[in-house]
Amino acid sequence: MNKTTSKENTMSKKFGVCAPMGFAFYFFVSWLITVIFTLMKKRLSFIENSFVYLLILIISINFSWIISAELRLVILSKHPLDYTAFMIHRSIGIPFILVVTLNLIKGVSSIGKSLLIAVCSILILVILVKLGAVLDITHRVKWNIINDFIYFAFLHLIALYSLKFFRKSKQSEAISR
Amino acid sequence: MRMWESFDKNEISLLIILVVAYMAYFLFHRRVNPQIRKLGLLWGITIGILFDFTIGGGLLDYYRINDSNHYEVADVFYYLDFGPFGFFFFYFYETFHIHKKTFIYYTVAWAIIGVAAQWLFTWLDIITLQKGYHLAYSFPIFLVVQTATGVFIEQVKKREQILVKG
Repeated sequence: MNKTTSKENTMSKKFGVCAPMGFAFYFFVSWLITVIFTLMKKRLSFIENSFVYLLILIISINFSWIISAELRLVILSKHPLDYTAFMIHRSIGIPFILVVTLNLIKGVSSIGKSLLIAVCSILILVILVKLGAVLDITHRVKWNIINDFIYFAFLHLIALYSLKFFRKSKQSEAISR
Repeated sequence: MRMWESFDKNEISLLIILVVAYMAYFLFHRRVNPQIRKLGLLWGITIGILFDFTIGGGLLDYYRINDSNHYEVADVFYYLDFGPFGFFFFYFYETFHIHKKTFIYYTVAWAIIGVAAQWLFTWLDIITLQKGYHLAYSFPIFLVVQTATGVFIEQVKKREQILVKG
């Protein structure tokens, strides 16, 4: 166990957190972001939102599997509730945060504001995955916070450019007709 | 990530299914609105990946894909196979004019197709059931998934035309 993991374990003991708390926390985050998405003014169409959500879901599932089960850079808890919390965040939390961010970005006109929204979104995502370590859901064996920043920044770029590609496919079909 | 453990029955079968499925897709894809056809493909692939990494791996690990529990390139072929199924669910939903009275038949038919496909995959050694998992358990899963897909298509239909006029 490396220095970071033992420090995180001490933190979880210090704050008295346990498996149900991690589950309740990630369930709440996923519920909250789903409600925010449902109630917010959407700048993307239903089909565009679905496309981005599904694509980010595929990437999120594959990425988390590769870094945990294949490369073992991050070890997941074997406690069923902790593991479920991880699954909920991977499948609902992360993709919906990206979709909400994209809707917010498309609602502003300046590049500065768009960048600020993206940076806030990346920060929230990094804090949420870092909390997973504090709550003993994940043990970061060979993984640090810089990797999280890089991954989530790339995820935002993929979401943005895939949306551009998806919108373009509609326009190019309309022109060809 | 390795390609495969040994290139034999399951990999060859997967490649044949992949070629046939995508040939069928490219035969019909122009009849469907370009955004909807991409969404149909993505929906199918996502459902396959979501369930395989949830009940087929991790803590539950009810089945193994191909030769090992580790990620192989051959597994990607398997996930890509789900795409055309997603597309054809959308396509036939519109061409058969599925409505309230036919929704149940359509959903049950697709759930049976799903279980049959899984039986075929098991027979071809693409899937190996483990930890007491039985093929019959997949039927309720397919029912829920196909119902959710039908509800999703209804939402899409309210907003966009699925088939291209022509």
